[in-house]
Amino acid sequence: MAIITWHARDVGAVEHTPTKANPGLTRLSAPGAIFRQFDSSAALPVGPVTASIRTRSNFALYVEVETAGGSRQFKFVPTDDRQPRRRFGYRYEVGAGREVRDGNLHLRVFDLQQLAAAAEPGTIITSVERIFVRVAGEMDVELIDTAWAECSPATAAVGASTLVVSAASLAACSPATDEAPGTGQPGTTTTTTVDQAAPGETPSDPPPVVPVDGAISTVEAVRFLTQATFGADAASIQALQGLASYADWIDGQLGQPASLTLPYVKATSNGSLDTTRHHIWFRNVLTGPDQLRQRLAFAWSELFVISDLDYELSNSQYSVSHYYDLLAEHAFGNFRTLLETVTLHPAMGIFLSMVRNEKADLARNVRPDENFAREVLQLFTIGLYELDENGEVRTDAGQPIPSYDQTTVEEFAKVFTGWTFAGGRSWDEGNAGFHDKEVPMVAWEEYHDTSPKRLLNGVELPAGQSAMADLTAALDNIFNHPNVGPFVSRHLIQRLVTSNPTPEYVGRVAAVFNDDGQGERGNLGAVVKALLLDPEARTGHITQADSFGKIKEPILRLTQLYRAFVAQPGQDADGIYRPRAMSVDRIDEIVGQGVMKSRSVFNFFQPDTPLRAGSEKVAPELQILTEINVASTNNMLFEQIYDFHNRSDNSDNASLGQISVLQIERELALVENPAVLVEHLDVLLTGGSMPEEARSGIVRHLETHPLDDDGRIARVSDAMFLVVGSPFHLVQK
Amino acid sequence: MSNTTKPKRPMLMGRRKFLAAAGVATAGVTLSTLPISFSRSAAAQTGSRSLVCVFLQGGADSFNMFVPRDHSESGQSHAVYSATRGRFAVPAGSLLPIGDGAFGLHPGLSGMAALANQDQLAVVTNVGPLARPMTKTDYLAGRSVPQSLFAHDAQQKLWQTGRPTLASSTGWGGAVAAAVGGDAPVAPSFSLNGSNRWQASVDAGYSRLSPTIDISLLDGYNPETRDWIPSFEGLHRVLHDNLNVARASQNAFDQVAAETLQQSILTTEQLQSATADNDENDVGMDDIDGNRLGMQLREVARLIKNREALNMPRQMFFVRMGGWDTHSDQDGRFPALIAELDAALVSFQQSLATMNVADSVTTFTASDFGRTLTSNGDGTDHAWGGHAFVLGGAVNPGRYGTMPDLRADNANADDVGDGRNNFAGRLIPTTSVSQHAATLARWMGLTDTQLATAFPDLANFASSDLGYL
Repeated sequence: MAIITWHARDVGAVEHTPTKANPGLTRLSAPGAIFRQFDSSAALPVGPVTASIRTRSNFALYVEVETAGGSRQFKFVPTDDRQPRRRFGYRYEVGAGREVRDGNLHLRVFDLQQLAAAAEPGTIITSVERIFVRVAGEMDVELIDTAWAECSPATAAVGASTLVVSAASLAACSPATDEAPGTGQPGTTTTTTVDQAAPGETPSDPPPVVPVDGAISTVEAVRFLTQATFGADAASIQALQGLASYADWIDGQLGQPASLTLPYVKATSNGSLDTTRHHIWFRNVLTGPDQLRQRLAFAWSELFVISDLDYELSNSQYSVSHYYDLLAEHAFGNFRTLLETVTLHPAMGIFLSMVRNEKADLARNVRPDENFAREVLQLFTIGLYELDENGEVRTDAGQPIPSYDQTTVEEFAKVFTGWTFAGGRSWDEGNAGFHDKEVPMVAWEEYHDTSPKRLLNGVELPAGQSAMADLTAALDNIFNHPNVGPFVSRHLIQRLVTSNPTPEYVGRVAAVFNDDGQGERGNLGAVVKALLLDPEARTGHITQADSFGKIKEPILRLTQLYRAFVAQPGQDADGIYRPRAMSVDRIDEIVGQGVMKSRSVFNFFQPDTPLRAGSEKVAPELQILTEINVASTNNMLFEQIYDFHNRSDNSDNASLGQISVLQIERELALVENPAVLVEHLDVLLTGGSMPEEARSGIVRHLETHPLDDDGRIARVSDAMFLVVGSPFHLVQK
Repeated sequence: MSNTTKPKRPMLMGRRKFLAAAGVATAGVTLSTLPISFSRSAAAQTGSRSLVCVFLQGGADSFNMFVPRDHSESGQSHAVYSATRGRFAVPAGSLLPIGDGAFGLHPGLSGMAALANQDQLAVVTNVGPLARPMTKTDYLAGRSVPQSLFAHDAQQKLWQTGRPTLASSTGWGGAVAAAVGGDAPVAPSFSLNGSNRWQASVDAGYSRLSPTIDISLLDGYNPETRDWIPSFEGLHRVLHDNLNVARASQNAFDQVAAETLQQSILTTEQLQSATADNDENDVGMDDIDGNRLGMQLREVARLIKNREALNMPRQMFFVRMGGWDTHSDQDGRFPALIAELDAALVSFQQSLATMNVADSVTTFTASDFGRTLTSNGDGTDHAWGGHAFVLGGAVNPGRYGTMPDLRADNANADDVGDGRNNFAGRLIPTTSVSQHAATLARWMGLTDTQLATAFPDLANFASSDLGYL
């Protein structure tokens, strides 16, 4: 005899809606698709699984088993194809008969072992791990809380709408039968009644986001906020439209203090894991009032790249978090200050091995380390080739003119000698602790190369200078190189606005970098303001309709969705935002990027990645839109939209309660007018870039859903995915 | 030693011979004098062939993988090597002898040494991007110097395009796929580690797969998504309709976004079963979990196992292993890197042997550049030429190309130092990437005409066939 125990606690607080006909039943009536898991108290012995189903809705029943060859999953679906089909390597898909959704009671008995062997010869099931169901609409469930002594097919009360999932010893059951309603007997089954849950709070319905005229139209507000924040939401659109100009909004943002990561990371970890750094990063970029500052900090983290995929940095999370916070704090400051902050930060010292870089020792064939010297020139400030102020590469006889050569790198390598962690009693000390890397590196003069050095543009440093004097002069030398303005301007334009800015646009922003109008070079607040207010940023989608825009960074597709639908952390998530029941530091496995997790100092993607092979236009972000990541990102967004919103109910399952929840009341209020719903979503999510033909196709599809409870949810979910899953959501224009 | 006769004769060895015969190598004999029998013609090819690029991202210190042992050529002996490399020198006694023992492999490469002694390994010495044979005089005068030397991304691209400048946005792997790739619904060109220039091609795409993420079809776009819900049929149709709307958009990003989604849809559909982790696709390599490179190669092995089913008589693979940019802690990092490399390659070759395809799969290593022979105290820096490995049953084992002068001396004619007391051990390649690549591409079936198109600078070199295949 097999003992199967389904405890009421496994169900949790589901909505209980007794009907006149079925007063004892639990109705799973989460509108839309729901996903419900019944965890057994222990692994079940193998036997037939019987599913007795009556529902007017659609369902799939899953049974997870262990086999000698690993985990397998049965998926029973309402089709007539009774032959088990193997899919994705681990799944056996089995038809339960199309008629199971005809509104009558059917009993199905499945022999798991037989099905497994048919799908995958030789497979032996060792245990049943869990059983769960996906259902659209509603389904009545009769829960069994008993030992199942005999395999009586009569598990349901007469006339009940039931789903009975159980397992029994192999020998006890007769083959599959199809019982008419009313022949069942109570048998050993008892029905568990679940207390009714308190009805959820209904949020007040915010107004739809639809185009309105005014100083700043809604479409224009969304476009601007998509460039300048982690996503437009109703509140930020309203706030922007309440101002006289974009400049007013930017001025307000420039004064917003930085939302920090380090205090949270210190409070939640010992610094050896990056998990909580990602927790606080998502919270800050989703909810922080300093949206522009956070967007810039992220853009700076993709120029002054460090990555805690580096082993030593992975164990230095306080230092990494501190570094990111400094990028946020200096985001609108002066570039020269930012450059020095980055140069002397111990996290950068570790990442590009400037820490403990020492002067040459010719007797041992030892030279200074060239790592930081090379990358600060190539990647952070001036690039490989001389640039005009408009960012165009200077050429000589058709060949780009190098902005420095190997000798220059060797000279700068000498400059950056003599620095190590602060607080150490010796040159070599200071690496062990996780906690001591939040102050700039310090100079040890005896390890500094004091020979004269020849820098960029013929500048010479005299012999005998201190490490700090050399470093100051060298950073001045770099900062004053004419490439820096166009190089940095182009980087920021590509991150925020468009992949292929015209030379005129780059030139206008670079001119502000070179002189903010008050005689200051490198005023980043002025640069940011210039690049966002530039006519090309504001109207490029009209004036250069063929080529303006960019592929969105995939992590921004997620933050934009979360902000647009005011996502709330899952009820069991301890305030942490995540799109999957996984540690969110692994977001890069889905979307191909995670903050400060690139594979090298070359960032997640390179600025010269061609739009297509052989194309002159670039699309840097395409580098990480691999076939696999496009699919996994699509599927993450799909599940988010269909399964995790405030009308779906995952309250019974701790793992599903980890996932953030979208708020869709505003959209539900629009379902009776699909054209308005689609226009609203198009404006909110793509800045109104979907062509009429695409929108009307969506509208026609939505109209096929009836206006009952299920149909209303379906209209919202389908409309959302038809926008978010479309190519237009991959693009920012 | 003179550099005026480059390219020098590559060492061409019989089976089981890594001869101590470098003296011959400097004699100025060109490749064109080699016996024709060593250059298997494309016309003779039958059956399937697969080529696997193992890219060691960051610049591998290959001068410490393949090291002089009993080799006595002036300027190339272990004593010279040892003096120049200083603290990073591998002691002669710990080197694993291969062939006749003139050279040995780093003790961390025991599996590779075993493969060498099973006649499955060739080494191409001091290979790197070149526009034409180059001397130190040429270099210091700036004549035909390859573009943006010593910069990671630039040098990766030169290796992957087989050209001395960055003008090409397509690679030589893509050229091979376009020329001989056949007509399967997806191009027979796969990366298990993201985008790269090597496989980029106007005419043949490539699929970027993951060693750790099973292929999932795209929810919504896949007609079987929640197919128990009738309304999903309509959803599926509208999604596909709107792909076409986007392709017809005047905006290039709308178009490319739609193309990207369509490529993902096609790739996931076509390759899901061939890459699934199941019994049909069992290729062994069970020992390789946790090995970043090995897991990529296991996926490669699955696709090779399925190459007939996929209708792909020619396949190109790109796998990549990062971490080789050992500016610091080389003592700690390098042994771990080569241990991972060795375990992955050996497990892969074992899998191929078990599948009886070892003769029709050739695997080669490539890297951004070699590293400085000298140290920066704790690590090494970016250089130029480096050694490369070629593995497989089709390989004629031995040492190919020319060993460079290893002397720590400003007068070293193979070093780029300009005499300002700045010898670093940044070595000018003595064999061009284009020669090396053409040898591999010819094995895949490219004709001389196709090779000339793929490698426009090939004609500047004495031979387009190094002879190891």
